[in-house]
Amino acid sequence: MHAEDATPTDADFGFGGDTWIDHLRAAQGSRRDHEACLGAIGDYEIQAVVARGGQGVVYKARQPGTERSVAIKRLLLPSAEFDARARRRFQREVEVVASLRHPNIVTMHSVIDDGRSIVMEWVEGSEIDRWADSVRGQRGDEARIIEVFRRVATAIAYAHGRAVLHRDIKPSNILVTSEDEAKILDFGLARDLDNAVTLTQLGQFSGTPTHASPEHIDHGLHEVDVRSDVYALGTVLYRCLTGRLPFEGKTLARLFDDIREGRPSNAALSSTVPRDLAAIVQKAMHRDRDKRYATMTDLAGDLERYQRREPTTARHATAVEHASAFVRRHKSLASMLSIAGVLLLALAVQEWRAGREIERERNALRDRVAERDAALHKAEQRGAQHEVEMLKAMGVVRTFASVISDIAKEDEGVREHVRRAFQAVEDRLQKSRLEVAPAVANAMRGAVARGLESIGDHEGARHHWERIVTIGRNTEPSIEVANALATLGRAALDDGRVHEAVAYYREGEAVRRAASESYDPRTLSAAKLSMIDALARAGHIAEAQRALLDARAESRVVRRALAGAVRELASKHGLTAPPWSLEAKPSASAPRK
Amino acid sequence: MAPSKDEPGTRATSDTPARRTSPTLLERLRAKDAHEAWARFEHEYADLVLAYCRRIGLQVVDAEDVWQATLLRLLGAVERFEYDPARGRFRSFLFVVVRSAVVAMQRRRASPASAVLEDSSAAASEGTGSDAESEAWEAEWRHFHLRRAFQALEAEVDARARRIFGDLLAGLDIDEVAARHGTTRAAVHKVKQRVRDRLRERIAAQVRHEDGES
Repeated sequence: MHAEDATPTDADFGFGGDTWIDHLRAAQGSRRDHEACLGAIGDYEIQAVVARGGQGVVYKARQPGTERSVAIKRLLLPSAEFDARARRRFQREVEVVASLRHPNIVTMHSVIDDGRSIVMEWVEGSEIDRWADSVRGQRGDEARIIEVFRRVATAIAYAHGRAVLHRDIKPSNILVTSEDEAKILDFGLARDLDNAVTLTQLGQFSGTPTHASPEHIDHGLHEVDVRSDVYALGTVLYRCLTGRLPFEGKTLARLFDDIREGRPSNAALSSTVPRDLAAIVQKAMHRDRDKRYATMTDLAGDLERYQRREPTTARHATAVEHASAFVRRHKSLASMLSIAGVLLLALAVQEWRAGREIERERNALRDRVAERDAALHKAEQRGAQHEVEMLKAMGVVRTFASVISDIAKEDEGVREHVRRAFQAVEDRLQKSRLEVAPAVANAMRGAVARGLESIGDHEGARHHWERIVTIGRNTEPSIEVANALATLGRAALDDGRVHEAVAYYREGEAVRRAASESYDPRTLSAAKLSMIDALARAGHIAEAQRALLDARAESRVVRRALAGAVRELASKHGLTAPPWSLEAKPSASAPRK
Repeated sequence: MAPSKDEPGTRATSDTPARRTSPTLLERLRAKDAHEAWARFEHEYADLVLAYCRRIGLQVVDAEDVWQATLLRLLGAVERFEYDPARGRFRSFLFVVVRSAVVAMQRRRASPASAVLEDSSAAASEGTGSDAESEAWEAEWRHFHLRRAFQALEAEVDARARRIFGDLLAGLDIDEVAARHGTTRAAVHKVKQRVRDRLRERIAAQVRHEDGES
């Protein structure tokens, strides 16, 4: 073995003496020298390398004389396969794309450098995922994100209308300016570039095709259509709303499998995004392209309906699908609850279907009830098993409440069905009270109360929340009880009963801290804000200030949800807004008042 | 497979490691499902190849072409097992690949070569490069590792130490730095020593990652 091998870096880098710092100085200096004079492409003077990717390099450049800044995309080395014919076709494609004129599509100026470089409008902005990361957590974040995506979808629809597919929609191809103006890059180039031999075709992905549709993965770019662009935009929307990629397979094979199966790697969408909006994303990125939005205009339309709080096409479809799937999946559970109640919920949903089909299904469901009631009777004889089934049924009620709430809001007939269904659940609960543990009964009541609130029956819900608190005071602390107290606190605050609200919040906070379960971050952040508001309004300024400081020790999700509101709340009540970081919880020794 | 003139070779070098116990960078690139290793390689080593190309006088667009060609050639070489890590360091192998991409690019463009390249056309055709080119490559390889290590290090040291070392790097002597920061010569020495030790550790790790651990 050479002596150099024993300590190889000492000799090469001058660590044996003092020359290492000279080497480091030279290393820093050489980079500066290289960046000082980058050269030119055609008439354009290169100012900076902006990005380097699978298709080529993007430069920022300036045209001497006009001093206009432009972006120049210089494509990968031409290969033998990228012959004259392919090049001509590519240039024709570029001409078509260059004819697109839309405020949200980057304008192409010209093609230079023997067809290898495209000169485009320079956009000062951030890639849409980074922009969304900077927006999330601020007041009105969701509305800003949705508006940007609605415009992006409209712009892509405009291009589709001129027979131009994008084929490579991903965050780096959508820039957003400081004015929230979106600009889409690289329209229609992907197919032609795919004809050239690139690193990708040689068998390696230099990037990860997280936004590729199942049909793109399986059949290549020549099989993609309008719905593949819809899919890709859906994945980008998923990323921007949740901060997570929908598919994060550790290996390429796993990633492709997940995309094909439509199996997201996490539950970020359902846990952080309102149901209606999640339904839009899910429909856009459905693995079966026949079940996606048929056009980008349809997607833009649903985003607009969501903005106006109107029913979306995604949500209605999803509700009916969920209802049908629910009845199929939970036949036995439905019966365990006896479930006139749950069945009526199903029927209520079914009413949204037309004519004889409804009648036929309703009769079939009634037949099933008779069978399942018999099964229920037997199950009740089994004692503890009943409790388990009750817990499962609670999940069913929750699912159903979520499925049906939007429909119920719009139709009094459906609302009545739902009320009767929940009443049936309540009756069942009363009947079984000796067999069900208080915590389980409370969880069930919580599900029913939320269901009633979702259809606007706040008085009915309040009755359940109060029952939960009454029972909870004599049992183990639980999140359900803390939640009931927070809800009652909110109602009291809304009615101006400030001191009563404070009492509820204090008790709720004590129960939450004593409970071993974790609290839903959105519910917790809302409760925190209301509590601070109530304390301040009741004159408990020191306690409100302490609660404000304590909130910094909550989870990142809670801190993010609170970030926008804390300063405003502090200002409203003359409190001191604490330093607020989303990056890390303050240490345990953080100063407290 | 015997390397062709312009293809990467397997020539043994004087810095041949005797044995290795961890996979080399090339072995990681060859591994099944190595897209992450490739992405990392592209991200990190573009700096070395582009800096070398600029050093020998290429414009940035030509340097980018060389880098793209290097990646393609490297990919082919990795798939064809043209590199035997037991017989030479990775940097020597990469230099041969880069050198050959530079020559091919210049032939295609038929443009006048820089002084260094004109001086070395004979050596270039053998894929080994002239002494001047080898020296340029070695210098850029050193700079590349120093920049990487220093960049990582900057995030680790506290702001005051960063300022003190920044002044040393800017060329101030120890007394000037000590006076400027209201501290002692010993304290400045300590900062310098700490940076040196950490750089040394980091660079050793980076080179081990490149060549495999001996």
